[in-house]
Amino acid sequence: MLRYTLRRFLAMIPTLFVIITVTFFVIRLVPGGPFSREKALPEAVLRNIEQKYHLDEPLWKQYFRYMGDIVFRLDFGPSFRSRVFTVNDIIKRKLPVSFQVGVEALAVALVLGLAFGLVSALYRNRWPDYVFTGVSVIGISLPLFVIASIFILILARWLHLVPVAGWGGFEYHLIPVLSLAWPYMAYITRLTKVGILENMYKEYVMTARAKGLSESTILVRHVLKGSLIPVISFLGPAFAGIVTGSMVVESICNIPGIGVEFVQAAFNRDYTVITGITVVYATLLVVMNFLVDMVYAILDPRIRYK
Amino acid sequence: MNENRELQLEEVQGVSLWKDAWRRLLKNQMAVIGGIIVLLFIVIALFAPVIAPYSYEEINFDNPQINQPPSLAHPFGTDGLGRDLFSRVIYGSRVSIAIGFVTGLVALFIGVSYGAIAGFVGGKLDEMMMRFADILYSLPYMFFVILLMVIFGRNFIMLFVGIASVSWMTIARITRGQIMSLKNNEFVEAAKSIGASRRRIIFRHLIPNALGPIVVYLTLTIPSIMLEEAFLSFLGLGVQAPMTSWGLLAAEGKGVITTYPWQIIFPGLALTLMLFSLNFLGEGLRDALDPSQKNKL
Repeated sequence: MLRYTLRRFLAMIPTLFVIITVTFFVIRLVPGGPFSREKALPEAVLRNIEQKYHLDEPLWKQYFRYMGDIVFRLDFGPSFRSRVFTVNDIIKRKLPVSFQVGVEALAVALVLGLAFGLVSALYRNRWPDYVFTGVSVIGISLPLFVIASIFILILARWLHLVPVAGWGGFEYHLIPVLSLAWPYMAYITRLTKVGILENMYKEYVMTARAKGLSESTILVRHVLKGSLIPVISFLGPAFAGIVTGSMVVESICNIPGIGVEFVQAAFNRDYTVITGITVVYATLLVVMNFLVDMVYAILDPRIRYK
Repeated sequence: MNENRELQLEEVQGVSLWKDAWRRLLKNQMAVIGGIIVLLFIVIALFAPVIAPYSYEEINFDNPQINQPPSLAHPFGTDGLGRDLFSRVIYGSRVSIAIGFVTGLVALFIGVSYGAIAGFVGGKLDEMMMRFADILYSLPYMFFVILLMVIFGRNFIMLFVGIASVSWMTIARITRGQIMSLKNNEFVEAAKSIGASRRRIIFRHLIPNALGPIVVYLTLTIPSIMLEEAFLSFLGLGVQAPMTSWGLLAAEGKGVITTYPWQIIFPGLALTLMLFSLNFLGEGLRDALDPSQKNKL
């Protein structure tokens, strides 16, 4: 297990290295440069600005400076558009909001997905199965902004249960979290259902039944453990999807999160903010995949010896 | 999709696999209905100027024309500039469908070539190529599409290139797997023995035989590409006005969702219907071409 952990841990490094390198060089492909405006700046001003941001140095030097700042000081540099805030300030201010929405969505998707999947499997081909299958088909095929619009129309506009948009207490979380969670809840429902049905008739479950264990013990201790594996391995892609989806949900629900900030930076061509957020998200994703692999290896010992 | 269908029909003569698949597909009601709706959407997109009752950019500021709810004159209502939403949704289908299909084909071309070469050559090259694809796979690709859009400007061509450049990896993997399982068959030996070149073996012998699963995956890739286009356009990073797509129309309706909800509902419904149909058709094709995959996720 230790060797496997170490190997998976070390495998993260080249991925992160590629991510930072690609973002750095891709953003330097921009014709003109970050300070080219419709109206050209005076030569001297431009040179001063470039000096301040080290843009006058050769590319390889800038690259090592950028890489070094990130690796050793976790510093993403200044924002090119906002003179007051650095990229770190922006990330520190906006990431927690998005993180909260994302984690809540993931939790809701996991809890409801497992519950619905379990019920669907136990009541297969009866009405609870049909209801939950219908709910998940809708969640899988609807675009996120349609899901969010439906929630806003029903919960906010017609029932007046929650505010339409904005950010604050619990009532503001309901729409964004439910819309973000729905598609992943749908997948988890399907994965859980299929997993339980596949494991229900395996030999080891029959053994457990022969030993005289109660049905609920068999279900929780034996069937569920086996059927959790595909769900766990789905959490990596689910996290990635929720991260990307947060851009849409934050924009439709007016949430001051990092997804909206990224889109805004893309509009303003604020290069350091774009690279900074990309690197942070990519890192989160890679770490998440690592954790998923670890849980996976704990649940399924076979994977360690591959 | 209609191209694919015709292709299959022609190949039906004597090729029992495709004939069988075609029969199985016709038995699947949901897939047939999905296929008909997809064809209908394609016809609507092709003949948009004939079908649309108004021009998609005809602005009408006469007071009673702005933000009208659905009526007989304007079945989907009008938007904030008094434009007929029904016509705009019809025109929007052109961009959404074009991006779905063209980008799908570009991704198909890249993925099949890449996967076939990796699978056929094998060894070190295969390992390197697949490792590279794996790293790309683990990146938050939407961010890179946005990055590309920022750098090269938000134009139509970049939208194709950007989405295609992140959509080919799964096709490459599937192709590679297929090629690896096929490349030791006798017919490849036979081709080798009569002196066929590597390229000829890959493109004339191996790829045609691996086509089944690839076609299936393509029909499931197209809806996801359309979804990505809608996602980008919804954020304002995709198609630019005066062009329009379902995602962009929904984005325009976003701000007035509580006052004029039809402005987001109808483009959303159009996209949803198209995605549903494509998914049903794709799943039907999968069951038809590869029955062993039935009931799997």
